Amino acid sequence: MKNFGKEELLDKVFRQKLKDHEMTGTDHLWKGIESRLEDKRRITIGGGLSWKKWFVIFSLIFVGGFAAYKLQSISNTKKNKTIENEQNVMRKNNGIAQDNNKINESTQVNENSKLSSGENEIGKEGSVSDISFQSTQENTGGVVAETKAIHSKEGIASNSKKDLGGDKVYSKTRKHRNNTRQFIENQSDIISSSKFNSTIVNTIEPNTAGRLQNESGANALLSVPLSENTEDNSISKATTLLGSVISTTTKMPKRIKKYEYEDDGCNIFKNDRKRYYLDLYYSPELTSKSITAKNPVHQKYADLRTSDEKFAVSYSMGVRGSVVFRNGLALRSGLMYSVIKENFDWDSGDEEITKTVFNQQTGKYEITIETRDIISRSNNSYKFFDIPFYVGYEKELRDFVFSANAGLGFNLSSRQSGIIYENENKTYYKLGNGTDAVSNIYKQNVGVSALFNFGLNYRINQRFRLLIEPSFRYYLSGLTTKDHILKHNTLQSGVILGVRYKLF
Amino acid sequence: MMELDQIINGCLLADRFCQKALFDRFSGRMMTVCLRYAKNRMEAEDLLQDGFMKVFLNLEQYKNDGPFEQWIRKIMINNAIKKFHKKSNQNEIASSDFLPEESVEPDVVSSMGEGELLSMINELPDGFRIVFNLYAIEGYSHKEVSEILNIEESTSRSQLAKARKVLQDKLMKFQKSYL
Repeated sequence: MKNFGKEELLDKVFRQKLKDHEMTGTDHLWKGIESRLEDKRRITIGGGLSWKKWFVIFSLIFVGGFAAYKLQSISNTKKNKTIENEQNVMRKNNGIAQDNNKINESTQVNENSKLSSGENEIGKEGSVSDISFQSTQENTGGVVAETKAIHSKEGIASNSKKDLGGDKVYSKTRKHRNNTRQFIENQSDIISSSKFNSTIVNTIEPNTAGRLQNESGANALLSVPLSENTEDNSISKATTLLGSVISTTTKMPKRIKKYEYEDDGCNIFKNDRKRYYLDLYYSPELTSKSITAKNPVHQKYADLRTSDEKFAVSYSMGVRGSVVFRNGLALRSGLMYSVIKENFDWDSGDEEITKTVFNQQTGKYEITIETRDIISRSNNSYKFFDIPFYVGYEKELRDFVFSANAGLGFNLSSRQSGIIYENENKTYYKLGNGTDAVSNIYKQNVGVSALFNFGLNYRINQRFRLLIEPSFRYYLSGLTTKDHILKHNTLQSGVILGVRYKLF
Repeated sequence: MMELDQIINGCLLADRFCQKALFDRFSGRMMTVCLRYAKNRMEAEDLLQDGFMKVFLNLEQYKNDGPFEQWIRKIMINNAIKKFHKKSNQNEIASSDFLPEESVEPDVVSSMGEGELLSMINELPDGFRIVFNLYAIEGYSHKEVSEILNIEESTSRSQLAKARKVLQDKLMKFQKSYL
């Protein structure tokens, strides 16, 4: 006869009866699981991607968007320029026709002069717009001729003295240099358009003196000799003029590209001085925490803290001033306040729940007493007050300013509050400002942090910009004291949202 | 009837129909597991629901390197042990400290239903119950039990011995009432 005095047999009976036993009546539990799965699906955006993956996706979209924008803007700029130039040609032609009529009326031709004017013809043809049309007075002495060059609607006029006996040409530029440059830019575009090329051959007469001024004000890139002309050489001279114009225009953009321009809606002017800005910003952040044991013996404690202290929210906000030099180099500094918040559920005691259930089989009430843990939630927080120093670079685009900054943050003060595990046996520390326990664990000054941010700033108007910059911050030496058994590091990743105001 | 592989693949795509099929297939056996580790049915139901949530949310971690039932059972057990750790009532003392001299007739035990055996296990103090389940039913060694529960091997041995004593006591009482 077998008996269960032997322990193994007892185990065996239980194992045989229970290991693969299947209970019934679990169907009603599915509804609870289903509703929890639904909740989870609503909360988890995009099928359970972690925030790190979302951050990578966001960054890729951001970089891709920037590249697409850049390509698009280059293509649009080219298209717009072509359209604008064509429109300018049309507009200016009308203006030239009127201006040339005026010029003709006021021109006094000396008996000895050999002036021939082709302006009217050009104006009528309506193709050559801003080439300097000259009305020349030539002294009978034959030495100096006073030349007036009028640049139609751009309002640029220059007085030139031309020594007919020599090669020297003098010029005074009356108008603003930038306007001249802008004019030249337009001019070069017009000249490079096919309309101009086709019409200029047809319309320029050999006795027309064309003069184009370059941006430094130097004269006479083009000069067609005043004529005793014949029809035979007129075409070849006009062709020479065309060739010169085209060769001039092909060189032009290289020089212009060296400068940055600002467009205030009415005028285009060069950024030739330092700019000063003031930023106000707020940055929602995600914190990647790492708690490691300095000695492997304490790894269990480190793991316990890592798993049970759950990230809740973190953010930073601040104010900073910037100076941006004309080459795009930027220096920034200010004040920054940041907070990391975590939730920690801790066992604050037990409670007993007494339940009375009527048992229909026995006809009696059964009293059950259950003991349950009271779980309390502690909202732990880590607060930092820093002075950041950035060195950055800014590149002006059409509607945006691309900005990248890197630097160091110097901590002024750090504070921690909440409850954490004291050790792996799950006793607790209460973090309170300034207590000895806290200062043994956490530094009250966490030292230097590495900072990096980049992004596109949208130009709202001349004074304000909207800041949208992904940012990263990492405290280099960690948050814990050197005597503590654990090392606590954080990497904050966020997006700076703010306003940049141009001071002057 | 759907193959298990199809069900798992469907669950990986968060297909609700497949999730329900997986639950239907394993919930009965897993409920028994949960009942063994829990103090009562209500707690077991909580454990089962939590366990299945973990199964669905971590299914991609199943690498097909062993029987699926073993994997899901492990999740249920780990979940129960985690709950047990939270309670940390390991220092409960057994209500009975003596080993009965009389033996229990096997026929008596065989005639006992699974429900009665389960309720006997349920009545064990938490620490005893967990150690008995891990060692006697799941087949872990004392070393493994000590690692899982983060206790000394000697503690595991003594808790098992005490659990057996309590169970034998209960069986004796049952036998007396049976006879």
